[in-house]
Amino acid sequence: MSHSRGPKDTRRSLQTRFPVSPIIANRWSPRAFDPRMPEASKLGSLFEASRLAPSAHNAQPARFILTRKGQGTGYERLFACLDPKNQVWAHTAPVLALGAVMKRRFSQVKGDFVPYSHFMHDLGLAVMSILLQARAVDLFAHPLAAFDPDQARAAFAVPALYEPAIVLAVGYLGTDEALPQDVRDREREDRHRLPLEEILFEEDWGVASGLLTGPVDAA
Amino acid sequence: MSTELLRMVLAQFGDIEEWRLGDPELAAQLGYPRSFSAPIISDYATLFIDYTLDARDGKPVCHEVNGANAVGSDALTGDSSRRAKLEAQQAVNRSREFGLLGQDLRPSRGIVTIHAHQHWRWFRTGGEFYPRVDAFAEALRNHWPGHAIVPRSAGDALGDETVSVMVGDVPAIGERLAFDEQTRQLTVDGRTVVFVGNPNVLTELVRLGKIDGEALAPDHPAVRVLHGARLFTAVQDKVLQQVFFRDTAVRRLRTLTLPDRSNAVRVLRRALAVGPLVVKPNGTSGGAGVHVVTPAMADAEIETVLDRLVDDCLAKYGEGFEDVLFPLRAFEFVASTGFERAGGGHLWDLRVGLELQPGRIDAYPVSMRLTPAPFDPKTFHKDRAQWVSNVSGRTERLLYSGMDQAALDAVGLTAARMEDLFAASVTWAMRAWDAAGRGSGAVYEDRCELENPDFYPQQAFDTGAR
Repeated sequence: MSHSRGPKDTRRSLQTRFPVSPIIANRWSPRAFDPRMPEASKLGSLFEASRLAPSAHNAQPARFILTRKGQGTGYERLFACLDPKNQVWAHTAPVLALGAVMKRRFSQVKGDFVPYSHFMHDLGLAVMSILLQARAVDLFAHPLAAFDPDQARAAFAVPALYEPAIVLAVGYLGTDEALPQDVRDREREDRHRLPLEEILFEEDWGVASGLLTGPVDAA
Repeated sequence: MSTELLRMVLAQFGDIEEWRLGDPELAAQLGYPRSFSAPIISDYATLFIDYTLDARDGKPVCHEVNGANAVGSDALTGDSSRRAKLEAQQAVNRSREFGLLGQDLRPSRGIVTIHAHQHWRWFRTGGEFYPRVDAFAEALRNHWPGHAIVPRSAGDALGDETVSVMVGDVPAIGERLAFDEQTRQLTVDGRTVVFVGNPNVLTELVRLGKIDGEALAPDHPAVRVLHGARLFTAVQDKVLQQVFFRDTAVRRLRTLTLPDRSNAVRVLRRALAVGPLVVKPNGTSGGAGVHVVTPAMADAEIETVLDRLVDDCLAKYGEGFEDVLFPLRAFEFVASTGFERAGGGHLWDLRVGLELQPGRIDAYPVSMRLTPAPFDPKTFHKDRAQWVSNVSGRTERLLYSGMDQAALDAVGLTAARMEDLFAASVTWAMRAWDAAGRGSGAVYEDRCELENPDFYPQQAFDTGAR
């Protein structure tokens, strides 16, 4: 039985002081996926979204390897790279994708590769595009950092220029009934974020922003 | 195939001899090809870059970068089997990309590959072309054993084969191809084309009105099937080609673009202040429509040269070619260090071949081509034989192997200079590859970095991540 609740699912939405797009408000990283394989057009749209992400120098450093359960051997190879604590729930995802990032960028000016300080940042932008696009097409995506990048490099022949950096679990939202108790408990916990006051300052570090202290929409 | 078979047999008799220069033992002895790590290269391409040394200072300059329509891939081994393998691998990859392979990675329906050669009247490389197509088909047979992989000429009906390996001259192939707006794919009789070995096919399709020339970019489906698709823009744009030699051992030629005919003479006149100029049309090959203008020419003479350029192209490529002729490109004329023969010093160029595949570029010298007549700075503009070294359509022996040490010594191509050329060629290919993925030239940040190398100071922005 499908427990997909659609893109307007607000089960785990957070309260916000300012309204944000429902796509953002209703995104979270679930640990329970429905076994149904997402449609190819929807999966394609996720990576199309990543292609449109910004990057320094338009270097476009992100690369992804898509694996689908029951199709080829890629899924098993990638699953084997995951930390066991992630494996206990990630097996419910019908799709896993490996995200790799170019660690050095090619400089037109130098005619050679140069250090690329923002490569992880730019991969993050591409991944966030995927996470949001997933919600736009009724899917969820969960980024996982706990995996063995060396094993992934070997399993997928990732060239030296690229660093395996993230795994994405993707699918429709599923029921958490079958998850181990401790994971299910985590899945049902309230979500927490720092208050806006702690991450937004104005004029100087630590000074509360007028956005938070003044009248809304004051000139 | 009977007509094609006859042509295959007869083709070699009128061939230029470029394809006969390959010497595997010599190549191995000299350590060719030179292999370079090229981590950003993610697909397949074959390039040929024509260099010479400027007589004034002995520095290298590049006349032109050529794509897969050019010849020379047989210089290492005497055949083009290496190139055929790259072409076949690309065809396999595209087949998968287009969803034409089943779960077993074999074709699930009929597909077509295209190898097109020059128009019959100018075709002089059959001795290289046909064995390459044969090796290509053989590579596909090895990849997909048990499938029928059948050579077809452009005039043949397709049969029930899995892969139709179609050959023919550019006009015949152009007639046969269609662009399906619905599926956004090139087709022959409804079957998807997964490989096109010659970029001139696209120029022909634009001329025939089958595809919109304005829309052609590396990610256009009709470009995507080309061998060397990623470099399509750089190979077509003779001005952009020079940009990619920045800060290499190769001096960039001064260039200008003539967008249309209306003010071409006025623009050329201004540019002639630096000396004679070579004017080239867009999207041609084999030296077609290449002319020279000199500071001493009157405006009316320059007009006449431009008329002749247009007429040349119409004669070679047919009506409608004027639509793809512009923009014209003009370059400073460079007289090379002379190759002394009886009668005087001949101009020359050296062709360097590049084989691109994921992660790697292999470079090797192909051939040194001489002009038929010795160079005379006072009269050369009236005599193409003094300054055009392109050998298409010629049968005279004006050709040396790029591994012929005596020939290289004769013009000052030292071992160090050769290594410079290989390194510059690889840098060119990497720059062109990178730029094609980020827009045809440079992004805003590149321009900022060019003007101020500290625009993106590593020390300031380095977060410590590597």
